[in-house]
Amino acid sequence: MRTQRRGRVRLLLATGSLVAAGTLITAASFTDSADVDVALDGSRNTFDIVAAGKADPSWLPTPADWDQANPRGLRIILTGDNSGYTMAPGSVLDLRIAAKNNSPRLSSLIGLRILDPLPRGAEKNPQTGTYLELFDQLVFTVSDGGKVLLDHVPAGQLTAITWPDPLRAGEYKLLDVRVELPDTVDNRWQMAATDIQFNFEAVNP
Amino acid sequence: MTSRTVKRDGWKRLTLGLVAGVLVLGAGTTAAAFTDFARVNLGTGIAGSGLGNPNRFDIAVRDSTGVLRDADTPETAVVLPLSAGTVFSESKPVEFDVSVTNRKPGVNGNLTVSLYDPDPQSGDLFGTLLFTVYLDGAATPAIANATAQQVNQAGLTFQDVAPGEQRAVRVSAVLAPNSGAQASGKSTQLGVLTNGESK
Repeated sequence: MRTQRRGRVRLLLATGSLVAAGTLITAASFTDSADVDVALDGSRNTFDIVAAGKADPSWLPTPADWDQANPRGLRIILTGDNSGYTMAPGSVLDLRIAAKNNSPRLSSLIGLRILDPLPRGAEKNPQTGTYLELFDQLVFTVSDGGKVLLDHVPAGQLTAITWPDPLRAGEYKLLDVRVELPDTVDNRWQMAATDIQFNFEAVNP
Repeated sequence: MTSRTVKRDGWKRLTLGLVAGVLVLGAGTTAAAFTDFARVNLGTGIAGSGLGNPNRFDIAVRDSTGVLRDADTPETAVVLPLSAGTVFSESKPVEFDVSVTNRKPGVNGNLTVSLYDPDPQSGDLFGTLLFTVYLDGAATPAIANATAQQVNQAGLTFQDVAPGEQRAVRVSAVLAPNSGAQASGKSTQLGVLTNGESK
């Protein structure tokens, strides 16, 4: 009896393994899948900053004013005949510059640095003995819609301006800039000149 | 039991591996964010010439032959002949005309006229002279019968003289009333100093 029973148990166990095999086969027989297509549309994620500016303290940018300003910078015409702007001691130049986030969707963090594209340090004109570089004598005031960001900052103490809030797609920042040459600048800077570069740097947060 | 423990350790390792991988990827993505820049230049297109004073601010005096002289030191002062009169008197003025120019090309500036004594001496005649100054040929004087000190305090100024512009100063001098006796045998020089200050 015991032997027979044991045999049945073995048989049952064996059958069990067959059943298990059957289950496996079943599991392998029915298959299904569900694909989720995630469309990564790259056509509208361009990131683009454009700039504009005019030597006019009441200027407002029009759509035609915006320029890529990169890699070739946008040049603001300073005088009617496209010559240099005369900066004698006490002279003031008021202008407006603007940067626009021209991206279709992406927002942008913006920073601004004011640079001298051609620093010449203490280099002097060998004939007259006067300095060539005027940038270091200039004093800058920058305000953003009435909020003063740089208040009469001499060129040597300029710091980068950064805005904590991102500029959303399509928005622009309009800045009032005043460049002054103080009265204290003397004859040593007669015939000195400079260019000024406003460098807008943008990063997608 | 042993085999289960080993299995768990494997999962942990896998999970850690995944997290580390995600973190690294995440950091990589941030660093590779989109950037752009835009430059706005103030300039003429010729490097380093946008703002400045390319032309020297330089004023000059026209001498008797019509030549412009810098005359920027006492030694190089232009000596001008008298336009009228020969000797100082209490009634008949001695006159001379000065023509100052803001040289072209240059910078706009204010020209301030003052009088000085080029050869001060003790008991100088200069102190007893009364001056009447006419600017730009005006019929009415800018200041009349004033001492040199009063003329200088008045601050006679040509405002905002553009480069190339020429301005005229006529100085007329008489001896102060009742000083003629002391003036006898004395002489003095008269100096007109024009100070230019750019605007």
